[in-house]
Amino acid sequence: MRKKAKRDLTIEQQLARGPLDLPYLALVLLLTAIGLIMLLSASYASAYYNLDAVDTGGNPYYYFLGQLKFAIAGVVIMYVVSKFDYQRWRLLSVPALAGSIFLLLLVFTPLGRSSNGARRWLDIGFSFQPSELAKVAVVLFFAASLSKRKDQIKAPPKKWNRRTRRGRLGEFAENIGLLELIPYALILLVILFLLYKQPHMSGMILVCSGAAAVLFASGIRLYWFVGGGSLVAAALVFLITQTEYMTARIQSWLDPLSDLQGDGYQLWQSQIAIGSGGLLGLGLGNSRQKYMFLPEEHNDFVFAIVCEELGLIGACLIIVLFALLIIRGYWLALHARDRFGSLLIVGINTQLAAQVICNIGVVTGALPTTGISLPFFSYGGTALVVQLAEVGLILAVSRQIVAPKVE
Amino acid sequence: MRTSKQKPGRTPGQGNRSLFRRTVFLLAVVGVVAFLPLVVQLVRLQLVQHDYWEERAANQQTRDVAVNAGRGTIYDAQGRTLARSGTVYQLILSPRDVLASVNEDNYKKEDGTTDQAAYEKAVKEKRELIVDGLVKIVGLDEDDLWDRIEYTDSAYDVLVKELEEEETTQIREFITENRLSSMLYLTPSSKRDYPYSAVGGHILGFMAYTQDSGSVKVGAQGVEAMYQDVLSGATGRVVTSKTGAGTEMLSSYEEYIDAENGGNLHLTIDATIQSMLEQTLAEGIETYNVKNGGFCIALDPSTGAVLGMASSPNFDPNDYASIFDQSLLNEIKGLAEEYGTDSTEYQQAVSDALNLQWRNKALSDTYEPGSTFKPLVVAAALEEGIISADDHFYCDGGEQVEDWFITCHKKAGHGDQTVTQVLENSCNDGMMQIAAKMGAETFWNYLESYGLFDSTGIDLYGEGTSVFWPGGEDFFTSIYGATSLATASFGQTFKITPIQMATAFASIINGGHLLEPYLVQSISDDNGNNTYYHQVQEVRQVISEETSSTIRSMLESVVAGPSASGRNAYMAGYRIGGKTGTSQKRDETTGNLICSFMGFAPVDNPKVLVLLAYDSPAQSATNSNYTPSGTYISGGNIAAPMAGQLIADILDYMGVEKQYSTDELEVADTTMINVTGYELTVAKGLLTDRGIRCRTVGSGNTVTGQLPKSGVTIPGSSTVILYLGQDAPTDKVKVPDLTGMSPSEAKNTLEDMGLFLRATGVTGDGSSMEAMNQSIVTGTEVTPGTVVEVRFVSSVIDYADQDLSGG
Repeated sequence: MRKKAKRDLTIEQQLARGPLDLPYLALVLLLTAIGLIMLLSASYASAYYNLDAVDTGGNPYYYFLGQLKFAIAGVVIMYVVSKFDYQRWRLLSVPALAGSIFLLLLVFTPLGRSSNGARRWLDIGFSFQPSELAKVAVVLFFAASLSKRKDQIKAPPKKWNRRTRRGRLGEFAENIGLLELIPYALILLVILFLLYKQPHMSGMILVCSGAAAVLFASGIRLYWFVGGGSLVAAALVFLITQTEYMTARIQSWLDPLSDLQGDGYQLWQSQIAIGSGGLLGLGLGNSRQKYMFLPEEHNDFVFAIVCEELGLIGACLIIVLFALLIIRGYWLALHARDRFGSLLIVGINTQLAAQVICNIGVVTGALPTTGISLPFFSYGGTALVVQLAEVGLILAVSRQIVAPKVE
Repeated sequence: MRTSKQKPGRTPGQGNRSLFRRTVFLLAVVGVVAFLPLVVQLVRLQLVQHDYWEERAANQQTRDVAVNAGRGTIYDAQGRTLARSGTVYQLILSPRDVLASVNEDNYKKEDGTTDQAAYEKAVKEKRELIVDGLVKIVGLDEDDLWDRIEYTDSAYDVLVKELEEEETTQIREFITENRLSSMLYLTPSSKRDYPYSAVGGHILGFMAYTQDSGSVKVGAQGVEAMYQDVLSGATGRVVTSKTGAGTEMLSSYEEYIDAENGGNLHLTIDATIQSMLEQTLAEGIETYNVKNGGFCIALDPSTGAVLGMASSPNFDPNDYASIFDQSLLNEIKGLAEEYGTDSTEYQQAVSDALNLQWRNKALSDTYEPGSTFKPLVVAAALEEGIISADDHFYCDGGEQVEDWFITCHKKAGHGDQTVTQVLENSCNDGMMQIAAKMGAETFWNYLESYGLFDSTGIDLYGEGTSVFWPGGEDFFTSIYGATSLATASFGQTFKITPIQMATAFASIINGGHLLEPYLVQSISDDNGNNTYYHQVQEVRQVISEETSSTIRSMLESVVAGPSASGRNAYMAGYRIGGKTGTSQKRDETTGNLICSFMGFAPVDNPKVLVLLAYDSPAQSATNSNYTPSGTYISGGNIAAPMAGQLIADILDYMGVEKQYSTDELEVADTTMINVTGYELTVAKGLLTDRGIRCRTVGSGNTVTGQLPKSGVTIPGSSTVILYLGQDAPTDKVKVPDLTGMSPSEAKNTLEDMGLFLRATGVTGDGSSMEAMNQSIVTGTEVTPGTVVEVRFVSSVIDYADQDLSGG
C-alpha cells in the first residue's frame, strides 16, 4: 500500500498519524521485558521437571519461548492497533460487542473447552478466552455511546406525557438518570451472566471495573455508584456468609494454615516466597519456592517469585512502574482529543489497574484469592496479545493528542 | 490550560469538567492510593515478618538428614567390652502404599466405572503376598499383621524394631523379588548391646526414651546417663535443598556437618571383680534368706577407683524393662495369679519392682553403718590425741547417758580392754567412752572431714544424701545431744550412703586421704587416643599416716584375732583387716537388721577395700536373733565369711602375692613328693623334712603305695598315708557331708576315707567352730587322696547396739 503524502490527508487522517506517547510506550515495553525475564525465571523449574498438565518435554525454556513469540506478535499488533484511527471504533464497537457476546455463547458449545472446572476457553485452531475480548468490547461500546450523552449534546429533553402514570414514571426515571442506564445495565448483566456461568470471577471483576470506570468518568450521577456499590457489597456479604464455597475461600485467605491441604496452600506458599525474599531478595533466578512449592508460579503467582528473587526493593520498583504506567494512562485520558478517547483510556486503564492491584493483592494475601493474572508477567499468550492490543488502543488515542503550545 | 487542549470550535461543557475531575479522581485513587496497601503488605511480609517466613521456607526447602554418630563403647578395666552399639534394622510397612500400589485405573470398565470386585481382589492378593511372606520369614503374628496392613490411614508402621543384619537378608530378597520397596522397607537404627548381661547393670545403666530425648534413646542411668554427652558424640547433618516434590533441587546447595563418634569409656570396673561381687551378694542372699537384698562395693583404697559396685536386686540392661530378679519375678507371678495382670495391685507391684531393680542401693540408699563405723571414731580419737593405742577402757555392760542406760551387746560386759580389744569385741561401752572423751564438737568436725555431709563426687547420678537425726547440726546439740553422740559412736542414729561409708573408711586405711571415688579411668576417641585421663582427686587429708597405720593393724587383729568379732573373714595368707557391723534400723519397727562387713587387704598395703551388706536376713521368729537355719544374725556371722572369701578371691584375681605368718606357714600348702619304692625310714625322713606327717597302712619296710600321689598340693598339717606291701586304693569314694563338723571332726572323717582336709576361714581357737561349706559337694565320687576344702566359721555376737531404751 502506497503511502499518501501528508498534504493529501484529511485533518483526521493527519491527526491519526501523530506521534505515539513515548513515556507510555517505554513503560509498556519495559514492563513486557521485565515480565518476560521473570516468567523465564519463574517457569524454569516447572518446565524442566515437566510435572504440570502442559507437556513441556523437559525444556526449561518452554514457557518462556512460548510467551516470547506472543510478546513479539503482541508488540506488532500493538503498533498496528495504534496506527488504526480510533475514531472508527465508535461504530465498530457495536459489532465488537455483539461479536464477543456471540463468542461467549460459543464457549458453551462443543467448541468450548473446560479446564479446572471452568469453561472459559474456545478452541478454534488456537485456544483463547473470549472474556478477554469481551472486556475490551464493553469498554469500547460504553465509551462510544457514553461520549454522546445528553449533557454533552444539549438536545432538548424528551417530552413525557404527564397525564399517564407511565409518562410520570418515565419522566421521573429520566430525571434521576435511570433511563439512560438501562441499556448499559442490560448489556453488563448479559455479559456478567455469561461469565458467571463459566464461571469466571476475575473476568467479571475486570468487566465491571472497566464498565464502572467509563460510567463514572462519563458523569453518571454519583448516587448510582453509591447504590451500585452497596448492592455489590451486600451481594458479596451474602455470598460470603451464605455460601459454603465463599466462606471457605475467605477462611483460607484469613488463615491459610487452616486449609493447607486446599486453597490455603497456595497463599501460604506465596507468603513464604514473598517473606523469605526479604529486603534484597535471593537474587534473580535463585527462587526456591518455584521448585514445586508454589503452584501457578508462572501464572497468577509470578509476582511472589518476583518478590522472592528481587526482594522488597525489586517488587516495589515493579509496583512503581505499574503505577507510573497507570498514572500516565490517566494523564493521556485527561489530554485526549475527545470524550471518546478519554473514556476509552479510562476504561482500559482502570481495567489494567484493577488487574494489577487485584493480582498483587491476592498474591500478598491482602485480598482473597481470585484467579487474576498479572499483566505482562503471567504466562498466557492470548492474554498478553490482548493486553498489548489494548495498550495499542491507548497509544492510538495518544497519537491524536494536540501538541501543547510552546510556552 | 485545559481549554487550550480542546479541539477548536468545541465548547467545553459541564460534562467535560466532570470528566476531567472524575478522571483526576481515578488517577489519584487507582493510580496511587490503591497501591499503598500493597506496598504496606509487602513491607509487612518482607521486612517485619521476614525471619518467620525465612524459617518456614528453610523448613520446607531443605532436607536435613541426620547422620548418626556411633555411640561410644564402654570397656572395663581389662579392656573387655561392657556396652557397645550395633546397627540393627527396623522393618517398616506402609499400608497406604500397599493400597496405592494397586492402580484403580487398571480395573476401569469401558463405561468408566471401576470393576470393584476385581479391584478389591487385586488389593487382597497384594496384601496376602506381603502377609504370607512376612509371617514365613520374620514369624510375625498373622492376625495382627492383617489388622495392620488393612489400616490404610497409616503410611509408617514399624513391624519389627530390631532386626540383626543376618536376619534382613531374606527380607531384602523378598522385597526385591516382589518389588515391594515402596511399601515395605528396612531402615537402619542402632541398638545398645551389653555382652555381660546383668553384670554391672547399675553402673552401666541403660538406654531409654526420656521426656526430652525425642526419637533417640539416651542413657537413662549409670554411666550411660552421666556420660551421655561424651558417649553420644555429635550427630552429623547433611543439609540439601529439595523441591516441593521432595527431589533434589536443580540448583542445589549442600552442607555437610560431619558426625563425630562418641568417646569410649574405660571404666575402673573390672567385670570379673564385679561378677564376684554380684555372686557373693546372690549367694549370701540365698543362704540366709535375705529379704531386702544388699549391696557390695569394692574400691581401690589408694586411688578411689571403684573396682565393682553391686546391688541386689539387679537388672539386665539389654532388657531393662523386664523384671530380672527371680524372687521378685515369683512375687509378681503370685500377684498376677491372685489379682490378674490388669489389676492395679499387679501394675503397681510391677512398677515398684522395676524401680527397685533399677535402684543402685550402693549409691542411692542410706543406711546406718553400725559397728563398721567404729574404726572411724577410733581413728579420729587417736588422731586428736584424745586416746592412745595403749589406753584401756572398762566395759561393764553399758553406759548411763543422761536418762538412758545404753547397754553393750554383751550385757555381762567385756571387762578391761585395750583400744584394739574394744574394736575386736566391737564393744559399744568402750566406744561410748571414747566418744564422750572426744566431745560433740570434735566428733561433728570429723563427720564433716570424713565427707559424710557431702556427696562423694562419684561420677554417677543419684547419690543419696546422708541423714542425721534429729536433723543437721542439732544432731549433737539438741536435748538428745549426749545420747546422739553415744549412739553415733557405734554407727547408729544416722544414715549415710554405702559409697560415703566406703570412701570414708578408705581414708582411714590408706594413710588418711579422703579420695573422690570414680568409675571412668579414661575416655578415648575413635582413634584410640585418650581425651581424658582421671587423676586421683584427694578431697582432704583426714588423719595422719601414723594413725592410719595404727588403725590398719588394729583392724587386722579384728579379723585375725582368735576370738575377735571379724574372725569369720579370716583367710590365711591374705592379711585381711576389717570390721563387722550389725545395724538396727532406727527408723523402722520391723526389727530387721543390716549385716555388713567392711574389709580390706593386704593390711600392710591395701589393694582392695570391700563393703558388703545384707539387708534383713530372715529371722526364725519376730525379733529373733537367729535365722531359721540357726545362724546368729550378725555381720560377723553373715557378712564376714562371705566378704573374707570375696576379698581372697579378688586378691587372687589381682595376683597379689600371699603372705603367711609363721603359724600360717605351718598349715600352708605343701606339695607331696614321691616316696613310693623307698625304705620306710627314708620316706619318713623325706616327709618330715617337708613338715608332712604320715601314717602307715599294712606291714613291711618298703613303701609300695602312697596317698596322695606325688605332685598333689596338700595342706601342711595333713597326714599322708603310706602303704606297705599293698597298693594304694584306687576305688572311688563318696565325699561325706561335713557341714556343722568341727575342724578335727572333719579332718578325721576325711582322712579315714583317704581324703584330705584343707581348712579355710577361722583358724583353730578352741571356740565352737563349724564347717560352713565344702568345696566338693556331698556325695560326689572322688579318687582317694583328693583334697576337700572346707570353710569354717565360728558364731560371733557383735550387736552394735542393744536395748537403747533400757533404763
